[in-house]
Amino acid sequence: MLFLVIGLVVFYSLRYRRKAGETDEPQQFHTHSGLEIGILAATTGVMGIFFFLTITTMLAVNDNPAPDRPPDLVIIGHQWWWEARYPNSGVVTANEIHIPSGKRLLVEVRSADVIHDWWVPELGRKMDMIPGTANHLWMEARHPGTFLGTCSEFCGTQHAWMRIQVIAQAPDAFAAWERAQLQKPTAVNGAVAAAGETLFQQKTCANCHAIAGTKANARIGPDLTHLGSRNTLLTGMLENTPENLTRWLDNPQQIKSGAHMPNFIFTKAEVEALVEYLEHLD
Amino acid sequence: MEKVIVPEPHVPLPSGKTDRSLLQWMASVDHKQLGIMYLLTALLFFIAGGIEILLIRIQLITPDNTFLGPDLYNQLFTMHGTTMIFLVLMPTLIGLGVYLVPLMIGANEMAFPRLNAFSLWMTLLGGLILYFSFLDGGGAPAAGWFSYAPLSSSHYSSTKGVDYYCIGLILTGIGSVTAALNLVVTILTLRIPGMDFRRLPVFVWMMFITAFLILAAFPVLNAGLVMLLIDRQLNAHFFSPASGGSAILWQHLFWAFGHPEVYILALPPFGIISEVIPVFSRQPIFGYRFLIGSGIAIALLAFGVWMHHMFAVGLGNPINGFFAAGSMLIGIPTGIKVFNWILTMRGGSIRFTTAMLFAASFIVEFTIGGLSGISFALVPLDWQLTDTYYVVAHIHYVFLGGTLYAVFAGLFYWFPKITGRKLSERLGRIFFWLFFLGFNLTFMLQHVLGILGMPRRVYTYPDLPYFGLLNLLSTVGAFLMAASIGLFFWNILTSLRKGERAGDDPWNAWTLEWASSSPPALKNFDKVPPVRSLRPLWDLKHPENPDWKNEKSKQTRNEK
Repeated sequence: MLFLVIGLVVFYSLRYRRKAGETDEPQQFHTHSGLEIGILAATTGVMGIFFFLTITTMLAVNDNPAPDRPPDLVIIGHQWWWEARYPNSGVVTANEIHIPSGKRLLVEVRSADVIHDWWVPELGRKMDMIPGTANHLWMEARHPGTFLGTCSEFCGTQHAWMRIQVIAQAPDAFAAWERAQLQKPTAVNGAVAAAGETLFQQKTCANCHAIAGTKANARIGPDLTHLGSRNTLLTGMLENTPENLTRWLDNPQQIKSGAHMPNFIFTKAEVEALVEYLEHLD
Repeated sequence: MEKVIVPEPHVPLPSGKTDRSLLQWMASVDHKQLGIMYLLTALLFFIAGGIEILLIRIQLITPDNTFLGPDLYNQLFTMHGTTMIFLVLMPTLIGLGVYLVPLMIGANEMAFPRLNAFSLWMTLLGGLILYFSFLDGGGAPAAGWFSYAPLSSSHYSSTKGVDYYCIGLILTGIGSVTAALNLVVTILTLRIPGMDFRRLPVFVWMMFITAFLILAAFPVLNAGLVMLLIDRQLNAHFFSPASGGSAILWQHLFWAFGHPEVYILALPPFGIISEVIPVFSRQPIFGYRFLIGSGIAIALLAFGVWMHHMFAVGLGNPINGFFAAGSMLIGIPTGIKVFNWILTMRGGSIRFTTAMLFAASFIVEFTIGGLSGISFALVPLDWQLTDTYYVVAHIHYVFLGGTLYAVFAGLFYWFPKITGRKLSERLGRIFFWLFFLGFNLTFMLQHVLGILGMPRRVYTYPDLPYFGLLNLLSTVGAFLMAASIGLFFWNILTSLRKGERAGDDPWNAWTLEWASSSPPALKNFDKVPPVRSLRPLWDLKHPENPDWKNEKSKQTRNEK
């Protein structure tokens, strides 16, 4: 269609260009009803084909989006991170979402604040997360691997850093991951890390974050139970290294301004203790 | 040659002074001065919106750039969208309408000259209030030009930006509605005898249809804005789900306005193109009745497509299917228009002036925008592409490749009428090719970025394959466009003083505005040639082969 239009415009432009010295008015064409009806019929036909393909594909991608059964996975969008809950096993994690490959999962998406949008192009359609409403979609990874995605609805200051990582694993590897997630993190080794654990409980971190096996069980910020095992920090913004975590705890607003983590003005030793503690939660 | 005398209005024309001092401009109710002031208002905000987007393109030039922080970036992209739609394209098109409609229908003034001035000043006031937000401590609105609830609620947007947005747009909205009302009444009551609706120039027809669209669409937006303002200022709960409101309601209200708005910004350009292409092809517009009919069809369908902005909201297959069908139906009349323009060129003797260059490439660029639009009507494609750079590319092909190309064509075509002097064709041609190159470089690549997975409205992006390169090229294109616009301004400034004198009818055109002097006197016409067909000036220049003879012979044929 596009090539037809470009072709005709270019062809007529060259063919009917005014020749030098030409001053007479050309013969005047007003209209041609047959041609008009032909155009009408042709465009209607093309749209008909499009409509048929749309409906069939739509039904295939989105058949029965809310069947009468609990979802396999619940994902909740927050400003600016993802919470994932696995109702069958009780696992709760944040930002890096593991799924078994080769299985068609029913995913429920919700929002804790404003509208977000779940979009992992290789795993299925995108779906808005609307506060007050639960939406459903089907998600399937045909083979193991890491799939990238991103929040696709503008959700405020740090919309850009609301990246998604979905890690698809073979079913037995996934089952092992789920079992590991349910374990409490390994006991704290060394004096520095122990100091970090104490600080974490003293410094109101526990008002927002949860770490299984401790008193911290709030769900306002990301769950940190197995933080050490994750690839990235801050919803895909930085690689998960002790240096990056140190920079973040030093001054969160400088790293990801607008994020809902306040600056606690920790001393150097405090940051070091917290990093030692958090990076060993795996 | 017999001429028709323009009937004097019942009320005498309000302004008798010809002195063009500043105060006289501010107090003016002359439709030509107001039309020019509309265009100057648009120009002012065009510069502001242009600076905003250049800053944005600098920020996006490399991954992880820190030129602008997220707060400022979000303010700039919000203001860029709001400015370009409400304060640039709307005043440009209404301004051209206010300037040209009375001239094209052989009238001396708009139906309500004082209301005309009111409309302009409301639009300008709204724009200034919106821009005042930059001076307020909290900064400009940062919730996007679409201000989705609940992000735009006072809880998530606690600065006053969104309040400025509501008040500013309510005022410009009132201005648009009164201007539309004025255009409708003018076209209904002030046509010269002989000009019935079968002989109305296509541009006037399109302004007429557009005015009805404005009358139906803008009150919906204004109602929504008032509700949002009440939510923010008086703690109501229209849009807050936590206390029983609905976040989706805002989207319905916004797009029930927002999609007709696309046609409000598209139909007048269709009218401009339908004036420019015939004159420079030396052919009458092909299929006049089909062209008008498809314009009306587009206007009616415009109200049955808004939910294609919401296919990712999760409203279910039946609703998505219905609105997919509606959106595709709009492709049919649009396709008819495109082919009618092409067929107008057929058999012609085409003069490639700058106006015609823009008009001819409008057909191509607008078709690209139209076809990428159809890909959003295909629901499963929309589920991948919505809210990505593919949408950014699409809207810019529609609003720049469509509306703005047509406006440039129209400005080169009517500038001699408005000022009495022609724009430089040499500079115009350079401007066209530079803009053409910059525009396609910027936005063609953004289709690819969207397909690769870059979401829109992000202040930065990770260093994924090709993201950096494509964004860099896109920024280069944006600066090419900026350079070409600078050249265009230079062209206007120099041509105003030293441009070739145009005379009354420099293009050998056919509609009534070319029968007035250039620039038209305060009283547009004393006498007007008789209107017996769509092209009164053709009939005048070709008494041996007038259009009305063709029409007449066709009619007698039909009667037999």
